[in-house]
Amino acid sequence: MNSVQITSHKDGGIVTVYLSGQALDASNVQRFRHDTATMFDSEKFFVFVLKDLKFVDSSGIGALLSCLRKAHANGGDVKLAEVPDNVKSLFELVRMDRLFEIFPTKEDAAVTFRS
Amino acid sequence: MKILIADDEQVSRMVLDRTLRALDYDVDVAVDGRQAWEMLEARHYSIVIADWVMPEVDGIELCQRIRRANVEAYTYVILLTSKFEKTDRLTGLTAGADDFITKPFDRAELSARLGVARRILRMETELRDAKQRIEEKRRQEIEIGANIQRSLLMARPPEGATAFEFAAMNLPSTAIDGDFFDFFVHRSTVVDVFVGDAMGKGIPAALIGAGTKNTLLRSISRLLSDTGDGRLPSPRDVVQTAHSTLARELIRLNAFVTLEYARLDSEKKIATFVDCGHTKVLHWVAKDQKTHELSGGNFPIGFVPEETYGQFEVPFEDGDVFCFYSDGVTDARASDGDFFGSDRLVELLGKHAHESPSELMYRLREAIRSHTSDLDLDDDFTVVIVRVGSPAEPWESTQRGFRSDLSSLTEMRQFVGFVGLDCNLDAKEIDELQLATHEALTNVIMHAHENSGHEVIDIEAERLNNGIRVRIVYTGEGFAPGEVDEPSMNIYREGGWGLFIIQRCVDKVSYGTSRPGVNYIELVKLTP
Repeated sequence: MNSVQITSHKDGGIVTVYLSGQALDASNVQRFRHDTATMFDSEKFFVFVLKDLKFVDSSGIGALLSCLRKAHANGGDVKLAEVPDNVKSLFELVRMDRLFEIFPTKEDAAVTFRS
Repeated sequence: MKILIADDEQVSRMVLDRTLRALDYDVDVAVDGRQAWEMLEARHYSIVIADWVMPEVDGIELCQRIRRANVEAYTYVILLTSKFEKTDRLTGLTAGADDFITKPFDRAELSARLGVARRILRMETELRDAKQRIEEKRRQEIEIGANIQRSLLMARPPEGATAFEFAAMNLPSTAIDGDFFDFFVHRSTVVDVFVGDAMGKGIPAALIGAGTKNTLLRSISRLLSDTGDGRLPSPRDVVQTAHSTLARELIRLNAFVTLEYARLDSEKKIATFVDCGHTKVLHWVAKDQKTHELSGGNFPIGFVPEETYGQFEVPFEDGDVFCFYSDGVTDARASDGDFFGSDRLVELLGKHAHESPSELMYRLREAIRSHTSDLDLDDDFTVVIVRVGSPAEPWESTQRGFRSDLSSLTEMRQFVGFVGLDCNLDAKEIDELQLATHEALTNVIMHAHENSGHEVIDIEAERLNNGIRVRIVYTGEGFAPGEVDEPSMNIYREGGWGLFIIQRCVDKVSYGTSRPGVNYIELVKLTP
């Protein structure tokens, strides 16, 4: 099963999370939820970089929303950066672009946490 | 305007706090540099007044951290120094401090210096707003350019030239480019293909590309009606005629256009090319299974006012493949700067030339996507693939069986991508078809088959005049949803978009039973 690879990097209180893989979809979303479960316990501000994620489906959106909710519960936030066109279209379609802020680069996203 | 005071001396901190409040400022207080930094990480302060001497994180260190953070909105930093402490203002300025106040401070002086800070911050905000407005304008321009590109510069593979099989694709870059292509079908066995690139970026390049394409099409029509006896004008004459209209204008605009104009004649088995400085055409020869790079020696259109165009001929056989591409393909760069390059293109063509042009195109697109991580195409990516000979198996409908398992989803999406390309869907339409099919398949696998992995799902594709019908056939419990509501924009919702996505991504969706125990979901995607 293709799971989503997750690597992260913290700088100045902001955690940049790189997601890569064939898909974040029904086939691996459980695993993704498990892998990200504790991530929001100790940190608040996240930038998810999606450039190496080729495909996201509705269950993938659900998992990302659950991340957003956990971050909000801690007074933090999740912002998205470098989102491939097909994934961005999906976000717009289900109007998630209004819940998630989407930025062209991870630097653009990180800056907004600081202002 | 929010001010943060960072001072470890309680008395001086209190005096400062009171003074600022009396001056009507909104003030937060930190008892040392470390706490100040934590507060700065959590929110933005317009002005920070920090004591120079503090334990652990001192005023200088705090200043350096603020400057390093590279935030969008500016933080104005005032350092407090004491007459009795040895401090060097140059060190403070180098660390990024904007001003200094000596303790014990004078209230009038403090007020005046804060006035300066506010003036500078206001100018900074105005500058930032102006920058944002410019960026917004630029985004709008890119959008307009992308629309021109989709509607005027690109074409769909031609119907009617049945002696050939075509696939064409364009992925626009962020900075609009002037790539264009089109086809002119003379008869079922003779077709002209041209691919060009107007130099430059943005809307000017897109308009020049559109103008050039239009002029070429008009040149063919005019020459055809001039001869009037059914003889075809030579490719050289077509380009020469277009040149006579375009060259002076292009030179005046300080622009030029590279162009590859080809005529493929499958009766004579001859391809004729006029190459005007475009990227080489790849010719995969079925007989010896080798790829040849073809190029001629004309200048791009608009380079020189007087140019006499030459053409060259290449023989071909059934099964041969021609690949026209823009330099955006070979120049597609990975994040480490590695170009996709022509070697990779030649290798991919050699490996998959026996497949249909659509499959070949799909593989190329995936290869470029994974090479560039799907981002930052510096140039447009345009490819036209022509295979000589009617499709080996000209499918009106085709089907493939898959194991009903979530891990088959990637493979299923790929199959839908192939057939979509074969039915002339463009990149965006294919993304939508793949997404809709994926959502429908997930429902079948999860709900009808409970992800057992023992069942089989057939995906059937049927070519329509203007699109494709994809039918997912499965056994087991039938699946038929009721009305689909628009999803509410609710953070607490985690699912239920699937049906909505399906409905929005395809033009028609229907659920049914073909015979007892066998159900289907049918998706129709039309090309406009």
